[in-house]
Amino acid sequence: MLLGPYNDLEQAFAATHRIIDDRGTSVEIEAWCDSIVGLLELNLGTTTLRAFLDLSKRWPETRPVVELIGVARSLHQIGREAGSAATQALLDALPAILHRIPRSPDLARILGALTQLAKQAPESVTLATARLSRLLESLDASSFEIWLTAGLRAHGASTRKRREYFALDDPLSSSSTIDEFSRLERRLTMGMAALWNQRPILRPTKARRSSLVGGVVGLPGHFLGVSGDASDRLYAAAMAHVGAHLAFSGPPFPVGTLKPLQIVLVSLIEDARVEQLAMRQMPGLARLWRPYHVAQASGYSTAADLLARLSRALIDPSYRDAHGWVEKGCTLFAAAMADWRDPAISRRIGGLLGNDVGQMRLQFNPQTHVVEPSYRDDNMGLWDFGDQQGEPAEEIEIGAESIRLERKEGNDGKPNERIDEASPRARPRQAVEVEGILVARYPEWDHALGHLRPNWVTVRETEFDTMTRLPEPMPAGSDIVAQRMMAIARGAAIGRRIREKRQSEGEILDLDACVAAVVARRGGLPPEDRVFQRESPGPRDLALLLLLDMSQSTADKGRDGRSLLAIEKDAASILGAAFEAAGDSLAIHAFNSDGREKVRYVQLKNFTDAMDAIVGRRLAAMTSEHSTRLGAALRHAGRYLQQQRAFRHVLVVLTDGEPSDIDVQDPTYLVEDARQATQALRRSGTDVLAFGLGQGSFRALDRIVGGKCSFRVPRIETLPERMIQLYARLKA
Amino acid sequence: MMPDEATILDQYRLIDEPYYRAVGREIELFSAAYANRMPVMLKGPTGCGKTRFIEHMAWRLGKPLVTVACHEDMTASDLVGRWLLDAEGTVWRDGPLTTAVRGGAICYLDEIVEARQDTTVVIHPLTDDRRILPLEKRGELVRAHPDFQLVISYNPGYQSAIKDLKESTKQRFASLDFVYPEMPIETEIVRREAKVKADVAELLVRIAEHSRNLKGQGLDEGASTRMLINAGRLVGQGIMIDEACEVTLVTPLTDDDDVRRVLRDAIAACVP
Repeated sequence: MLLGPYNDLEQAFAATHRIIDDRGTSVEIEAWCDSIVGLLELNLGTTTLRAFLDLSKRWPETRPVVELIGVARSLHQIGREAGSAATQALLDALPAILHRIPRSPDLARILGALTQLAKQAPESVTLATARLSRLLESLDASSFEIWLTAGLRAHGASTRKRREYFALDDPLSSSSTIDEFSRLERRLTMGMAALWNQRPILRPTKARRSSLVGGVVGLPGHFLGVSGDASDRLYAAAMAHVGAHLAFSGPPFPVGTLKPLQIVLVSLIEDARVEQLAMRQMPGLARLWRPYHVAQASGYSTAADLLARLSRALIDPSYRDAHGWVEKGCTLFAAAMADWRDPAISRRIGGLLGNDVGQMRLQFNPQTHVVEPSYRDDNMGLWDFGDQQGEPAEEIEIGAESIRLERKEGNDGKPNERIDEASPRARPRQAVEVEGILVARYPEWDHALGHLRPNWVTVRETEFDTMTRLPEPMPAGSDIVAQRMMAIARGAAIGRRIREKRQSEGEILDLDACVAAVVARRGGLPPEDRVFQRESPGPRDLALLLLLDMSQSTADKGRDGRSLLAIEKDAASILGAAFEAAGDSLAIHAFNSDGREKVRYVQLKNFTDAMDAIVGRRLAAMTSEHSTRLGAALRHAGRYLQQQRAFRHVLVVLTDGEPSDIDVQDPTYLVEDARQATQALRRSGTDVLAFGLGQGSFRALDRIVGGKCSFRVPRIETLPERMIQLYARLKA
Repeated sequence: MMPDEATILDQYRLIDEPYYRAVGREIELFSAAYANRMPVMLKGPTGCGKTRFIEHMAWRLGKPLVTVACHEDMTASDLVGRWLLDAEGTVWRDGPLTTAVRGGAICYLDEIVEARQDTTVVIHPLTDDRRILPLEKRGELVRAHPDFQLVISYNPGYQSAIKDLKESTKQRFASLDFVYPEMPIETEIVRREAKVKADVAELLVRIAEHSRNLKGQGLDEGASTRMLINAGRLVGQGIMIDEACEVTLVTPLTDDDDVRRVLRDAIAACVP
């Protein structure tokens, strides 16, 4: 045999061969042997071969040997393209991910995708393979393929960018993983409101089941193996179920000395109880839930199977199950019908059934147990673990869903942090080109001297690299705010009023037309009947510039945990969309400063750009840095605005507070300068208004633009009211 | 020759009793306000029965009812009247408000906030002790007929957030708050008006309650009683209930695909 030179390898081969031999047909075993020869011929070194033999030896008995041959073929191709490091990485990764890919075709797809990657981007195979386990937590085989091809398509030309993508350092790579949650979040929030009149906070999780702890609903980023309409339905079913808990479940049951299986049983009865109560109110929910109950009476009598059968028997009246324990459960549950409103019956019936199971000596493994059917939540929220948090939590930790335990511990009535939130701090920050192009010098007002210092401040314009960041999702409800804003913007009449003469309808007679009509009639001619005049709002003719403050202080977090900059971005995009919908010409610029020589100014959107994805990306690329030299930015923005031909010019500043800069000690100096800049702009016919974002007191802002022109926006929801005030101000 | 007010106003008398199911003490309160000719404001969401209520009260009090649906192009002239040109020269034509003031009718200005701001100011002298209507353009001061009463309706929904009544206008009116009636009453109204069985009516009202949960969260307003009656009437014609709801509730309420799906899911959850 070829293995001759490697004595120990030959022994390992012989040992593995013995184990594999009775697990496949002779053809399969032959193919397996051939694949080993193939690997050997590829000259990848003995480590790969040894690792493959090791993998074969430990190949789970539940999986066919054919899969191993597929693995070997993929190793062969990957090794040829990407070398032994890549094959080694795959062999290291496989044992840990096999349980996530139970079906052979899925394993084949994943291996096929990796082979593809080896051909097109050999340098990235090791990176992607090392992250397989993490990726497959949220992706199934087909979405893994999609993720992989998306990366190749987006960064096919650049090795550096490909490496970033497959190392998950590129925001695009995390955003193109499947995220059903984001797609459905708005609908689910509204669905919860419609069905249950409840407005819980929704959070995406990496768990396999939904959860409800402390009023926060955790939902999987996606449910494994479902997509499209099926996914829509499953999420709807899951939300309806959580809603039933919110409506009918009482305070958490104390765990006491209950065993894991008893906890599971009490939870199961509680699920059935709240669902029955929900179906009393909304009988149609049965059609939503029942299809997920597919347990058959003829199934094996394992614990998991009996639990599924009992669940089905309790919700599906057409289901018959002769198993004594299942029947007993149904009888007890039906007998308690009059008390269904009382959560205590779940504890009682669950306890009774738990005792019986104990006597049946059923195998129950809390480590691998997952609540079934998949629309039901993990029921952790039903239980109060008291002081013994660590221990029982460990005991009933279910599958890979350790996440819930962390949530529980962190739960003290406050909404939990987004667990899977990709921390922006974790990524290297883009190097910022602060230098930029010098575009203008402006004077600055020294209030102490009462003097305008000429050419004191330098404004430099830069651009953002728009590919670096994708827009973050807006908080729930902001689309409603956006719609409302659009309606307000469209409805606002702020043009000149125009007197229309010679109208067929109007408030008053148009005297000239009347005289002409009488003259015509006296002259025997048909008189003109358009003899009225009326006033109507003229066409809108508004140029607007939103000036965003991106100084370091905007990184502060508000009460809801979002940074002021995030609120500012949301506000800018909502305002932008609203003004655009109203047909006003709009520009969005941003600024910060680092001393008087470096006032950095960025045009996110100029007057001719459309409010599109590019603008969205530029907004997303904004980061909080440096200081706020507002006066110079106002002067610079005013110059752009006044170049625009329009009846009205409006400059709206979005800021979090007071001007400041590193080279200025006197707190009033920059305030007074900004005030001077505002007044100069107003004299030349530009309206200057300001939105103060966040919870600040904005005394400086009042001083700069005047109390009537400065509007507080503590939360994004208050934008519409402020917008109305803004229009009222413009009308006045 | 113009016909006199009495003849004109006869057109505005209600002959048959308009069906109205009282929800609270609004009939007594309104009657008491009318006894003092106190101006009344009816507040409430669309389709909850404001217009039906005022028709019912006009019938009950035996007074003609002049209804003006206000719209955003409506000006003071449209209410009080204007000069027109005819063969002899100019003639004055009274507007609906002036007709009601002269002849002693109840004048109902529906959705007053929709009208231009100047419109609301002309009603001021009518709504205090003076009870006069100055016709500036004609140089005439009309004293209100002793039976005249002014009623306005006002939907505080947030669509009209940009338009709000001036404080000086609001404070002249007694205000009756209209909400969608409680379930049994609304069921009875739907049953009666749509001529459907009680269980159908009840189901429709349940669906409406779910849609009202979405107010401010996808919908500006939930399904109104009027919509339910429409749905019920279609059911009466043999249309299946989910289809009837689709046509009369889901589609009219919103164009937003997500909201429509949510409404459909809620309807599906309610239908047994």
